[in-house]
Amino acid sequence: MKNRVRELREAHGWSQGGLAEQLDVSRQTINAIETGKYDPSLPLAFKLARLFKQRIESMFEPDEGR
Amino acid sequence: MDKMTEWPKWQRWSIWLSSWVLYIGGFIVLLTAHGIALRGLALVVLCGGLVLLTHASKAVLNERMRRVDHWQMRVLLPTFVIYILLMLYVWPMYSHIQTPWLRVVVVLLPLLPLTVVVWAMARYITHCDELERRQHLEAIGIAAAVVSLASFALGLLAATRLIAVNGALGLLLTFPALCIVYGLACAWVKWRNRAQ
Repeated sequence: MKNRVRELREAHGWSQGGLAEQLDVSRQTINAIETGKYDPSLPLAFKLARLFKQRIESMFEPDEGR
Repeated sequence: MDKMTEWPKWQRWSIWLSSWVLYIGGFIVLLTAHGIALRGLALVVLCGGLVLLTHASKAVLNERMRRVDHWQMRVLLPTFVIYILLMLYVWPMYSHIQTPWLRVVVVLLPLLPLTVVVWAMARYITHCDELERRQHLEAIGIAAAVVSLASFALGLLAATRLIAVNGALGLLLTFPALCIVYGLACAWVKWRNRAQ
């Protein structure tokens, strides 16, 4: 799954640790989502979308051919 | 110590290594010392090493100490001290006790702090985030597989009398072996996730 988490986080000027603190997750989880190693659950994806004031489908996009 | 993540990398790694030295050193002294003062000192060093190790392990991964980490430390540290004191000073008394039921109670007393440890670990995992829970599950799976296969292999060797295995020792070592392999697997799973 491709996502715009890194782009949006950097646009807000937040560090991975800062974003992790706001979402009550570990920094490692934010890093894994940003690098595409881990796809978040729906509740976490909604939390991210709400925090960045985005629609969930504008933040996450399935990979082609998967 | 909560600001340790802001320290330079070399300082965080130095503290991490030093905390391991304190932890293992304290443990060795505690096992080998006989005087109460030296044992007390070793216990203080061991506990100090454990607290430092918890903070430093988070800091080397650039993670902050969360509320659940502080809670776990507050529960595990006294439980750990109680377990060590029970094993050093109460458990050896079983041979002097004549009453059978009291002997059973004294012998099984270390189970109480261990039960608290298992409960604290279960609570800790349920309070972790979703990726961490998956990593813990993977680590528990690896630990269960490794320890089961190792004990089965030892069982086969012992059954055919190719090696002599002390049954009591084998049973006693199952839990520590599970904990050690789980800890190593946890570190490996986190490292793999970081290195990919």
